[in-house]
Amino acid sequence: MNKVGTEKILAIYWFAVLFIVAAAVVYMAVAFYGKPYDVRDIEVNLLINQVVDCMVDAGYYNGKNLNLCNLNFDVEKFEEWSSEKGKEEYYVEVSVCGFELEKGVVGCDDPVPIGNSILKQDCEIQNGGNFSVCLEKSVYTIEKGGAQKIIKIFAGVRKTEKNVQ
Amino acid sequence: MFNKKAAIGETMTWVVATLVIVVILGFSIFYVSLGWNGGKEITIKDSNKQIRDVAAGQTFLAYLLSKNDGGEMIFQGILDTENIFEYHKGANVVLGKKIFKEIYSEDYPDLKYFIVVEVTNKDYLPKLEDSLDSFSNINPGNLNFGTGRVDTNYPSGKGHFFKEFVPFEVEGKKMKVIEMGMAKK
Repeated sequence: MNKVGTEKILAIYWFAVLFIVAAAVVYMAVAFYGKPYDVRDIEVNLLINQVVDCMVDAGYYNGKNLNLCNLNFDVEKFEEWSSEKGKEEYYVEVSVCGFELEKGVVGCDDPVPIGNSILKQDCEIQNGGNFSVCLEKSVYTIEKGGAQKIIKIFAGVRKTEKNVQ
Repeated sequence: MFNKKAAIGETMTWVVATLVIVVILGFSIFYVSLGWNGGKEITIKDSNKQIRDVAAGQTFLAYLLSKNDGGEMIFQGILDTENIFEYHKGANVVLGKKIFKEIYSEDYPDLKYFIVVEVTNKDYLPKLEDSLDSFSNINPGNLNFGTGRVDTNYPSGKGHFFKEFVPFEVEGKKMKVIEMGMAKK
């Protein structure tokens, strides 16, 4: 048996296996760590928290309109993002409704929107992924006089360039 | 003359070993790049830093400040009662069920809460600790009462916990809810 020839073939084989394993490890590391963290779920929750904090004081509805909440959407500069009106990466819509024990939610006011309304259409196609992330929450609150209200808050965040690959 | 059988046996060993390596690597790559669609999630395990559900917190507080059929503030009734579980067996729970069924039946299908209240002025009222109630399944026919305290990790790490919540006033008595917790199912 030609031992020298066999050892050469084995050495080549070992290098080939080593290369394949190393390449696979590198590929997996890049595939895993190359994906960005999608923090839009957290962002949209914080946005809603901000609106609730603005409109409700310790359980009581303070009567504030969304326009008085001073929401600032000009918080980040990234690629083609714009803070121009109607091109923002955020959208918030609030409507105030009545609430009755027997009927539940009744008589909602016209929704007050702020930000880029296209995000809402985006979410109707798909929520998350390469589309915007949206969330709708309602808050039960009461007026000082005792009238019960439900505040419906819809919020959306786009920012796909930074959160999705 | 070299041993052909031995050479074939050795070769087969290497072929099988190579196949095993390739299969394991292939599966790993597939899992990472294609099969693994979970995305990278961020979880905030520190209960003091987790994202609060302010909407649920304010809703719960508004419920406590609402009046029951008898015109009494629900929170006042809780403070006055000796047995919180008995108190919540009556009509007082109807509004709570309606609210949480209407708004939070998806987020909190099995709502449990506790409140710890501290009276901040001189009119001392007994401290209410670990009062727990459950709108289990928000179904009048299926109302269960639990005991103990809502853990932020109860039952599966989806609890919401509020500390130093908000000061408020009930009939001239200044109080502040210092802890409040709600657990998702």
